[in-house]
Amino acid sequence: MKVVHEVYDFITGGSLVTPIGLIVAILCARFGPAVFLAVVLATFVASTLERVA
Amino acid sequence: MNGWILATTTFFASGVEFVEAATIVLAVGTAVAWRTAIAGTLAAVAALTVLVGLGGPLLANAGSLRTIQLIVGPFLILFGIGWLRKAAWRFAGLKPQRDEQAAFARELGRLRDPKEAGRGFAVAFQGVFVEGLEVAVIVVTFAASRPGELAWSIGGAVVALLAVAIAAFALRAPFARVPENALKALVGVMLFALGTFWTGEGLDLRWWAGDATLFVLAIGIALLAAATSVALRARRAGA
Repeated sequence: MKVVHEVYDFITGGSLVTPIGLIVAILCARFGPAVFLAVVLATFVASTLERVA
Repeated sequence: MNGWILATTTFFASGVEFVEAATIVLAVGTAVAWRTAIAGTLAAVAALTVLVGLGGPLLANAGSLRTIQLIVGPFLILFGIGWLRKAAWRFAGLKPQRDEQAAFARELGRLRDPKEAGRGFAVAFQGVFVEGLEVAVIVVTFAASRPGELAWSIGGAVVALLAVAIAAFALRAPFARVPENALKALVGVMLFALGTFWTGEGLDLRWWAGDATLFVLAIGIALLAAATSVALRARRAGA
């Protein structure tokens, strides 16, 4: 379990928001590059605020 | 795409990580023995080289270029966001700035503890390997995403390794003046932009300006990161 946790932390930096946002962005890519980009950028902002909230 | 972009990204990413690794190696050299520190470093570099040598071709042959971009791109976005948000937190004062002098003193104290006797090699190996692992992943993913780019990708990392090793050998002291946070922010922007661009290509999205979109993405991400950092700082100051 600890190894899984370490690997998750290594890949995501311990963020919950980033992987979820990324999956949403990939699913939304069918609506075009603007929507994909908007979701990716929003993911960054949300991920940065994740620690503050 | 210009190989220089990949080489520059791996150079800065590796440089920042190797500066942190150098602090640990210097502590081992000072507290234990230089021979132990160098042996641990060389063993870790060899392990990372094997990882890149095996992983690069393995990933490059994992499927079509679109498939590889779809595997690699999201990883780079995750890494890029990770680097960039830490830089934003440091700028806003939500995370302490990395202090190599303090890290060196901490490591030195730990190594001089009699309970840690005989762990010099393991500490040097672990320091270099752990700091270099993310760089190895970045080098491998870059190489896989663009056929024929392995040399550029590895080249940037090797030049950074040599530069840091030579400087560390000459100074025999931790790098207190390297603007680590600014460099981490720069690497974060580059990884985030490349990851977004490649994921988009993997998803068959048509970027508005072809390869030139990458520069627009990098500028846009840098501006957004700066705005987020300033907003966080202002919010903290007002709290």
